Amino acid sequence: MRTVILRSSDGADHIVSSEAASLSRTVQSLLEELEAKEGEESPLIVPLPNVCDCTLRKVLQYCIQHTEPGTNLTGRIHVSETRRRDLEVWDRNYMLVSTDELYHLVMAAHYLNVPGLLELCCEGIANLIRGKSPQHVRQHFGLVNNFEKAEEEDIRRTNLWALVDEKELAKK
Amino acid sequence: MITSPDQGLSNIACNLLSLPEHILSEILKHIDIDGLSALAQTCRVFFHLAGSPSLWQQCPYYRHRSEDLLSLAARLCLSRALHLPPQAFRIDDDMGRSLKFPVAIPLFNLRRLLCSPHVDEFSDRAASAITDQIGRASWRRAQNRDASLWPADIFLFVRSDRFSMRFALRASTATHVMLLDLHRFRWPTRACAEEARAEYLLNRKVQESPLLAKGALPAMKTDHMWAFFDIYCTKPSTKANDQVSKPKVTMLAHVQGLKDVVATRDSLQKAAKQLVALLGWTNMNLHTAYDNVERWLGPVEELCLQVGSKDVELLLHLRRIKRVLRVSAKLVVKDVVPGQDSLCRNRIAQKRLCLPNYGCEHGCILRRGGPLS
Repeated sequence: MRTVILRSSDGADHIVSSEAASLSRTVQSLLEELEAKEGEESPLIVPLPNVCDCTLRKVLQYCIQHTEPGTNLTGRIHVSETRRRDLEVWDRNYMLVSTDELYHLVMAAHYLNVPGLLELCCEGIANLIRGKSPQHVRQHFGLVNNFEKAEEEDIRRTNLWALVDEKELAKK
Repeated sequence: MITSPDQGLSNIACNLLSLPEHILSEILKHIDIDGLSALAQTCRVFFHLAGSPSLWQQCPYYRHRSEDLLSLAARLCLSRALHLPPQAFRIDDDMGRSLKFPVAIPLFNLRRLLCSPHVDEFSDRAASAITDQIGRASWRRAQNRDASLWPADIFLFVRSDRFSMRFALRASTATHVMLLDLHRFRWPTRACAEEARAEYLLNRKVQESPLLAKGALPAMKTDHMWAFFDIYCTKPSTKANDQVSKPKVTMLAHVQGLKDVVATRDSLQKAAKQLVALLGWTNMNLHTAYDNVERWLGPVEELCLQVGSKDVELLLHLRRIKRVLRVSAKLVVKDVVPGQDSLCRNRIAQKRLCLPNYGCEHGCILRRGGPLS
């Protein structure tokens, strides 16, 4: 198994197997280019200027976990039921990070093009939004209410149909 | 792995709105309707992102117990047709002004969304566009493999009325409403379906059309409804059928506290059959159909009244079915076969419908929004 060195924006090097690194499509295409240029003998160093060390380490944890024996690169098609369940638990624990870290992970997953991780992060952010009132969402994510007063009331009224509880309350 | 000392996250400011728009859209795909509605109220960016029609196509109907299913269906199919978020529409049940066009959708509130004050113009164009879509229904049904609802599934005619659009209902909408109401009243129940042959049949059909089991209107295509009534409204001609249908009706009667099980079964079966017949309603006199349905639903209504206040909901449900049918029955429309003299036939249909008129060069009268489909 060939190893590659992934260099983060702050110059930290991470040695990983090419299999794990290839989970990122961006890295995979870079590797192909480098291999063509430098041949198979020399060590391959892939610079990743858009990913900081801390985030890269986290991304690599995901890649290594998801390339362990029994998993395949794309879809976990051949994964056994037990292994799949273990991975789900691992993913859940992996997502126990701060909101800031989650944003960085999403950006990194997007830049590195790791579909599984991107999906997982999107779901993680969606979980943070789910079940919250507009005020809570604003508070949690630091969003600024840029509606005018009348506009806000209008939007609130148009969205009543979807919010069953509020609508029932309004009826009462 | 070579590790460097933890230098922490990069100092680049990162918040939810700093994420690219397509990632935000990806995030919104994981959020349910409540979440989308809440998010739409937070700021302008999310108001526009959460309003994307693609996020609202698989809207489950059964969570909206308090909203009229018909309004909901109208909302969703308009969203699909006009590429606007479904919550933007205000559906008015306006039978006072026109029984032929009982559903009115005012468009005043879309001014901001459309960034144009000329909603009358939009209304005119949208009516033409939807009429066109309804006209091309057969071609689209052949092409369309997804389970979403199209305007032609619900509406028969659309016309613009200054700042609003008015819709005439398709007669088969009554079937949708009744079918969903029956589902809503848990008839036939899962417990019933578990019995004997019915379970096998149901499972088989459900596998073929998984959305049917969830009671989602978008999946209620004509074949599904036929399959449904095949199973649950079997003709009581053989003993075997009676054995299958009896427990279901008994359960319904038990749930609703009805005494006369046989009458309940017969009435519901006949009503359902009649409503199904409305699906292929070409050349059918809807007045007769309505009279029949009313006659058959009558005994159930009487039973409800006898039982007392406990069954007010069932009674209301029956009355709603009847109301929809009454509206449909006003549309005594027969399909006009397209041919050489289609314009003149349109004229005949026009007279029957008493629709708003437009003169044409042939001296015939054409319906606004295009020829009859």
